[in-house]
Amino acid sequence: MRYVVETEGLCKYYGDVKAVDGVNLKVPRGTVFGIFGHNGAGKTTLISILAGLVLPTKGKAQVLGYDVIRESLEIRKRIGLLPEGFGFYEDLSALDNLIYLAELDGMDKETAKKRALEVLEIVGLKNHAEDKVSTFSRGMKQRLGIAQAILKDPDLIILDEPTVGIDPYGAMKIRQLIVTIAKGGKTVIISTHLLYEIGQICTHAAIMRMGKVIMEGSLEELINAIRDTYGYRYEIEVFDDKAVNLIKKNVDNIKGINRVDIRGLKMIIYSQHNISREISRLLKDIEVEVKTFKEITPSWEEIYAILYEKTGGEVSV
Amino acid sequence: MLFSMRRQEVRSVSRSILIVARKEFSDMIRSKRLWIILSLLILIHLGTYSMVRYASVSSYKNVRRMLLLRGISNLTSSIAILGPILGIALGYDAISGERERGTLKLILARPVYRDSIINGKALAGLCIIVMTMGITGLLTMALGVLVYGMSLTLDNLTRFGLYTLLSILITLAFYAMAILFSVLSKRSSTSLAINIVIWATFAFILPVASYIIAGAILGPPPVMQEPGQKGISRQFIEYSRKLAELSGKIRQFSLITHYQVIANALMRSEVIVNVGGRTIRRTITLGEILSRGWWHITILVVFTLVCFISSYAIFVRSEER
Repeated sequence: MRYVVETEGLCKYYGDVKAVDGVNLKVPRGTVFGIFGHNGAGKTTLISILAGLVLPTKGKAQVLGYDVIRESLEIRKRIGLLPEGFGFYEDLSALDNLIYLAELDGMDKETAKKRALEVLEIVGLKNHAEDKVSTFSRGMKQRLGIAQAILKDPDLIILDEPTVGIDPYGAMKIRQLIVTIAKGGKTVIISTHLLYEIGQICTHAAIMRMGKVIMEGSLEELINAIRDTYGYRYEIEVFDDKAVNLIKKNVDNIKGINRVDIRGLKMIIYSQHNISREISRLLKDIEVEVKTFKEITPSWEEIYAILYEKTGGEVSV
Repeated sequence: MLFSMRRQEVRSVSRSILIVARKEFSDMIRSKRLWIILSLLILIHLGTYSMVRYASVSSYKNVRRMLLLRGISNLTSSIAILGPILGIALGYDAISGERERGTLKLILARPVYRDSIINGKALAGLCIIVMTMGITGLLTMALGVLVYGMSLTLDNLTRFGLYTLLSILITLAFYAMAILFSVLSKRSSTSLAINIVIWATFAFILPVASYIIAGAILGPPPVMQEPGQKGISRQFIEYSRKLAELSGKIRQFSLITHYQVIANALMRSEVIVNVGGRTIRRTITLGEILSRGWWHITILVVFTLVCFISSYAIFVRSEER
């Protein structure tokens, strides 16, 4: 099976609200797949459908080859989920919480305890196994949340906003943990409204807006798609004004340049096409000593802003 | 093959129910609410014991009789008030509490049917209620034997058994109602408030309101004594009879009334009281009580079933967003 998740025209309506609206998504096996969108974009509803917690209004969805409507129990046997707004039994220890959940996963008590201790070690909470959850910080609870998601060693792990509300250090630890889990060959789907998380930990991403997936693919594909549609940018930094003027004078000879911005000793060249070879050749021909020459890849904030504007929204990134 | 799969599925469902029930049972046993209510029930029984002991040494026959009847009434009233409170305390946050904590999503993300959760909770509640009311029933029986001088005949044991079952039933009825509101409410505080309002209506408001409503329906009472006549007028007696009858019918909207009617009948009519060497014996038999009062029991059973089935149906069909 190439894809762990495949959806086709997936919709979920709450009255007049289209929480998920015709989503076609394919999540390749072994990837860290980010679902990005700001609050209310439909990420949580989409995840809830995939995890078998919510039934779709229409459309199809398969998770690990099982249909989300008819075989949700089979899906829940095989996935690990960290839902949004989850919580634990605060008066119980971390270990007791995990044992209870592992038993519900189908393990006998002895296996449940053994596995609970293993996952507590993975998330770095083994020393707090006997502590009551009420004494845990937000970050510790979040790590415990990830621990419960990997209890049954699932093929697919779905994490809904795993770093929300956590201090930067705690969030960094969680991202490291996700990367470690993913390195073990698991497919991880992570929903987030933090753009930099996509770049830091994901290999693939889908961008959602108003219940729709407006872009989907590997990070490289997404960046290329943006460049192909919205152009390329190159930055040249030189040592003196003379070099700046020389480049400015000759750069117009390259076809396809839209604009050139000069900021002191730095020049930004905008083009609709990939002209990096032509610029290199020009710099060689005019014999200008260059400090740096690089292509500026669009940041995730820019990608989102472009897509958001394209789909009719106001940019608030 | 199909049969084997079905059997495996049934085993898996039963296992989930038992895991949830075990966790709930352990939570309930550790809960302060349970121990406070149980302590109150025990205290009331001890208080009744002291009162009835005083009655047995009183030299006035009427005082003895009054105190004994009040003692019996105390016991049934304490169950009628505290049983429902216990049911509400155990059930008001059964589902809404899980929702508020966010634990419901963690449970539902596992290979567990939604009905296993509600069934597990109901099973745990049933066990706790049977245990608590069983202890209370044993205390009542101990009171009957030690203070009332009651003999442990088959008839008396059956009456105590039925009394205990009835106490379990009234508690269970309110437990089922509390679960229903915990399924319907997003917040436990809302569920608790609704349950308390219903309980207070059944326990205190309706008994008082029944007379006001009956009085409003019947109109102003006739004069108590006609001028120039001795004694209370016939019209007034007739009015009072109608008022009592109508208010009694209104009170039957309360579950607690149904419990009290049967519980009092069971406890008062069958008790063999030995005071100062004289035996006071009620003549109403167990068969008579059941044949006259079966519908009170039916109402309690139907209410419990309707609440539980509704909770089940609503919870199983709902979605956690």
